[in-house]
Amino acid sequence: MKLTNLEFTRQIPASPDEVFDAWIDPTCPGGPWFGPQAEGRTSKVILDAKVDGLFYHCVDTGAQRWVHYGRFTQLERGKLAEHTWVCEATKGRESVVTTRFEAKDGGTLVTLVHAGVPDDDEGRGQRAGWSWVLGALADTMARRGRG
Amino acid sequence: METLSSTLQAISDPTRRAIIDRLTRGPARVTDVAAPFAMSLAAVSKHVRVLEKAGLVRRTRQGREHTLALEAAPLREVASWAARYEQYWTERLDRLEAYFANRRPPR
Repeated sequence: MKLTNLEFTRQIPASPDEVFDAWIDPTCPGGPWFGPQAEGRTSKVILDAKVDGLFYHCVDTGAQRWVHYGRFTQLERGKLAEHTWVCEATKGRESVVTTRFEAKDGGTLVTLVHAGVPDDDEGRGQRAGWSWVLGALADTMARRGRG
Repeated sequence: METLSSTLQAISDPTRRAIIDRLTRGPARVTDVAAPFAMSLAAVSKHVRVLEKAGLVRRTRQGREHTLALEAAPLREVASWAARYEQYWTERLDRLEAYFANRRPPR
């Protein structure tokens, strides 16, 4: 199976410690595990944020359920959070999500690498198109509803 | 999957993405859509035909005036199939950023 890595960066206006704390806290509204992301969605999270702690995270959009499982492998406050990631889209494979927090320009540069994601031949080289679709058209899609 | 392939092919070109981007703001005449591009109307029309064929753009005619409108359904298919990780992490980073941006008092 062909695998690929995805990388995302984002500048956040807070200190690395604050951003790290938000990132691993399932009760923080800014964290990745918190509550339904949009109207019509529900979610459930069980999370033990320590090395070798496990998590279960399910987002139900009504049309589909995204269920993710994983294990925290590295946690260094203000620096690094790493966990494994298994879900339907990884085809049962254990992928790894590494999030680094670096002080930059008075805030924090967050770099997230999702490694070991199954790639699709058809999708290769189309990533610019996808990013554009998701960015520029998110509002259009929302306006037009789910149909 | 055939629809998906034609959609991906249609949006793989930056000019066609720019045309769609223009149409996200509402329907527009072909000549208006073509205006920002440093290429002939014929060349832009060729791109528009690719988008029509992929079902991304709908053309209506009133007399000599041709109006183009966006059909977003095929793009939703792309988004749900191909970009789940991009969407997933981008949404989460958006929210993290918004959380701290909103929390910080204005300077």
